[in-house]
Amino acid sequence: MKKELRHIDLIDKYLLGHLNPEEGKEVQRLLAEDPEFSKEFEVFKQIYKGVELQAEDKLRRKLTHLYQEYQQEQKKKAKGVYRRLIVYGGAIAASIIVGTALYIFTRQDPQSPIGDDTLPTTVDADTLKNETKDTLFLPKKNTELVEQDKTTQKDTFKLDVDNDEVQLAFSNAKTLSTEAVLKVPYPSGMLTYTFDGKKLSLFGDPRISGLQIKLGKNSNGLYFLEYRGNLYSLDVTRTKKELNQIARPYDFKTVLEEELEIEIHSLFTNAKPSQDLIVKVASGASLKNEYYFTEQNGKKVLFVDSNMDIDKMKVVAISKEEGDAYYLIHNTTLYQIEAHTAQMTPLKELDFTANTETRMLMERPSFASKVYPLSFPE
Amino acid sequence: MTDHELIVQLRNGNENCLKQLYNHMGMVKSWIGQNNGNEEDALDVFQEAIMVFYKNVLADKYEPRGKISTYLFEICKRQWLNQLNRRKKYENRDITFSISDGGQENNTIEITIKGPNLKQYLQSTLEKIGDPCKSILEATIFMGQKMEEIAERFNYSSARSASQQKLRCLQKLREEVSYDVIIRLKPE
Repeated sequence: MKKELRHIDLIDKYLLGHLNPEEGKEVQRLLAEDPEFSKEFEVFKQIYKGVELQAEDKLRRKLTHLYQEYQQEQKKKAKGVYRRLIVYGGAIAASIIVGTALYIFTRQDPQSPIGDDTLPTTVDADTLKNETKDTLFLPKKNTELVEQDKTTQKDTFKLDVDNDEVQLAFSNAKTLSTEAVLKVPYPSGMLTYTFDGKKLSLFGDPRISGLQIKLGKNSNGLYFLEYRGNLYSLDVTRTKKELNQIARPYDFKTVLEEELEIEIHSLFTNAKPSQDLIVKVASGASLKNEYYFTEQNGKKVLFVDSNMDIDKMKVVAISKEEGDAYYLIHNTTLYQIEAHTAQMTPLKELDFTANTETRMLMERPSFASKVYPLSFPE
Repeated sequence: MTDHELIVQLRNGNENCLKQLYNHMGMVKSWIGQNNGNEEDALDVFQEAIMVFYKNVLADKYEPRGKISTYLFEICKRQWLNQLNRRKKYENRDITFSISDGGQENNTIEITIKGPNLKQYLQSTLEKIGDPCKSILEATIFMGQKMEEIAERFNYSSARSASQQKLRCLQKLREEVSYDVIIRLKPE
């Protein structure tokens, strides 16, 4: 036991370049004289390589993930800044206008009867309600300023008022059928499968790529699937079955002249009609292509203002821990829907290959995968 | 987070902090854009630079003379110029493929299959030993982190006891690995 650990220590130092000259000599001697040590040396050399490769892979994946997060944060930030700009910009514009108006106003003929009355309220330039009133009392030649003032206010504080207006416009909106409003849980990574001896269908995680999969067949003609470094046995089954892991060491050999068809199902196979979302479409109302969320009778409602063909529309909510992610599919086009957007927002077209989430919504063609002979040593 | 804080966090194993480094990517993007590269190249090169930086920080080889952003930019520049050189060489190279006879051809096929297989085999054994062993081995072998820092990061009383833990982890990993399988899967 002691000797074994001592040897591991020497090999470790050698491989990491930490040996002192004395230990160096000892390693040379052991390599020359002790076949057992040489054997261990070889094994650890491979193990270290393996650790490095796998740690590097892991770090790369991690960085890719962090970059995606970073991009999303930047997007959110940009929006935040934009919004703030509008609000501050609006407020500043409003106060300048009111200020100018006041200036001009106070320069007016002091005998003007309206001016005397309203002046005290005009001082309260912070509350926008008052502003509107104030500007209305301005003499005629300032109407231009008044107009401008109104528009800035409207842009900035459109939320409630506008929604009401839009809802009126939506009074003739059609409701998307419940089968077209779907809810899907984010894949947990638990796989199920069906297998008929020729075609293997995998359900539960559409993120799988063909590269992560390797098929094996043992001497008894039974099929196996290697996925994420684990081996699973495959039974012929028509009903979806969970993968059964084989925890024995195994070994693939050179490829066989045999292929199986593999089908990886998109997220839609697990979709159910959504219970908590209603989608209304004002088709033909405008060519705007905009949307927003609201609530009606305690249910979440997504209004889409667009000329899309309602029969070709589908809305998917992918439920995740951090909240649902929404997508709208019309025909073969994908649109991203930002959750909780209460303002009219233009529909953003998105490529199905844009990110892991959207790729999960893609229907993928099945592909052929080679089968390797598999043996279980020992 | 300042450069110094970032380094402290990374040494303590807070990998997520690497995210903020992407703030410095704009410079690299535009420079590579001006030098025959596209955004994808920039992302690749930048990611490699983060890895070099991160490994150097943990291995105590990073000497904070200037800003991290400058450091990353320098690595990216060097890497990208190397890559351009390599591409040039590759384009100019006479492509001479020697086609081997039947027997040898089989051999080459076998090697390509064996390569990733050994990796998978070792990966599955690594999974078996679990944490903290897996993380300790990654930190010392891949990142080159010193035992003093490992002790601090993984809460061992001293570098010595961290070293002992590491040896036990190696022993445990060794028990999961079969010599015969390694030799069989090892690329020639």
